[in-house]
Amino acid sequence: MTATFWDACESEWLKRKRSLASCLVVAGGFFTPTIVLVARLVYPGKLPKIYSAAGFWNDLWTSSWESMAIFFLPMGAILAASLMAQIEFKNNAWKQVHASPLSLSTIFFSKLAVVLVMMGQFFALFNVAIYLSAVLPALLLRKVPYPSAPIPWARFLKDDALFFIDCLPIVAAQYLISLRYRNFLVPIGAGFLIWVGALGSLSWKFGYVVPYIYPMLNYLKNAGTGKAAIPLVNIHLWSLGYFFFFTFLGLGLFVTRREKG
Amino acid sequence: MQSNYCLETTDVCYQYASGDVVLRRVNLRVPQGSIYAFLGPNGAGKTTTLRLILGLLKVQQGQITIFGKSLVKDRIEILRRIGSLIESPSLYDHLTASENLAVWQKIYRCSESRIREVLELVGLPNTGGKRAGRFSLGMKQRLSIAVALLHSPSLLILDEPTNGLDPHGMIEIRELLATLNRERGVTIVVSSHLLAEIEKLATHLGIIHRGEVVFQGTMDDLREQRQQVAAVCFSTINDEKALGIISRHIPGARRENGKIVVPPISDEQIARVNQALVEGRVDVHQIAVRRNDLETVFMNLVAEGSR
Repeated sequence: MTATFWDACESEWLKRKRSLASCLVVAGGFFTPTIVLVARLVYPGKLPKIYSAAGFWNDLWTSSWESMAIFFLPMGAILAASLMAQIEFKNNAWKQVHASPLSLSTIFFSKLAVVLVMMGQFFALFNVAIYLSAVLPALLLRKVPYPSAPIPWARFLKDDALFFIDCLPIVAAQYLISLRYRNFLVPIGAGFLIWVGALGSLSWKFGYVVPYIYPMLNYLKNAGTGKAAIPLVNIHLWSLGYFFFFTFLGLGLFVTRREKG
Repeated sequence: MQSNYCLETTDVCYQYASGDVVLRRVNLRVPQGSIYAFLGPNGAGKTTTLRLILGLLKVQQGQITIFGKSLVKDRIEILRRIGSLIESPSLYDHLTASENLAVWQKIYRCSESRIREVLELVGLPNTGGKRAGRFSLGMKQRLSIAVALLHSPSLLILDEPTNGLDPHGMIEIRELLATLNRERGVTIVVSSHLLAEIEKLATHLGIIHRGEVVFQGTMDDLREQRQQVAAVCFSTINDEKALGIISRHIPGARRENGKIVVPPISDEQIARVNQALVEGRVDVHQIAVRRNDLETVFMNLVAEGSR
């Protein structure tokens, strides 16, 4: 029987077990909420007032996403995509993958699918961690009440979806670069440079053309800090456009490579 | 017409981007059910040929047919029936032996019980939670062979499979391959740069040197060449005097390890030389015929290929 795309995805999913990429997903998802939690436990004085506020969840959500949108999400996408491709290079396993009965597009898309699921996992863990950073002080400290404001699920889910779309060009571009270079430093270095470029382009009115800028723009647009030139275009559509462009460019380069493995 | 060959390459040539020609019109014929040894010195083109056969390199010129089908047209169908180990082991260091096999079990869609079976077959049934990265090179080689065997392939392609194994491990792997071939009819292509290593295992062989196949045939064909006389050795009481007498009859005679060694000569010539020695009052202790060993035949073929 011919291996299906699902079989290939299952196989790829096994490979990420105990890998650095999967550890980073957990660490990255919990990092900012853990800092928030520790800060709250160390300085509990203002917590009763904060927890009674009507905008408690929105404030927590916005502050948690600040470092995530600017730094951890782009870095997480850079590392997850690069490390997943690196698993094959590091273990000298590309030749075995290419000698297996899988079409080149199945190999390409199954690995990309696993990276995307890992990014989804990253978001899910981040959401759980934000919730825990909110409720744990209330459970651990007697004077801190459980937040009375209802959780704005709809906003959270919408923001999650948009941030996910915004990080897709980073995933696809990093995946493309990682598949071409054996040296791990190339995709990481390139990713870091483009991220710095994106950061520097925030106040530029055409900054939205930089493919790694969208999570930052999305956050700064909503936060209304005035730190970024908010474009009039739909950045999420631009993001999807770049994602499909990098994905199919990556596929083309992968399929036409002369030497495999 | 149905071919008897499991694997056939026709005029396969390969050239690297740098312009170096690696393979020149390579025509391999691997009979169904054979153990085909693919021999050649390091850098002769063995691995490049095997990589082309597995589709890891794009064929630039020529044709590759496996199971009677074109590799270009039916790549996936062909690869489903091939188990391979090319160069160094391809294992995921962060996974255990069972997990490594599970990665491929999903793709080949074979039963989970095969994982246990192949681990036992290669002598790795008790590695438990130990990760492959902590295996010795020999264990990694065994696990790679287990990966190649997982889906019960019809054709096994193994590039130097005994690399890193101790002598005991080498014998075990050889026995395993022989059993697979004998009992399950698996055709095996095994590359090596050492003839002695596969001499007892192979039924057929191809010798490649500088990208050209310099010999192809059965082991018996090669052994026939072995039977050919390589030299005639005379042990005498006075080698110096004997050398003078022999040289008058046979050009190219020389002293070597306390004997006079002459190039291959006919029985009549041997009798004439012996008579000349006796007439020259040189006692002859022994006249012996030296035959080629397989290694010498191999080296001669390689040397001929270099000319």
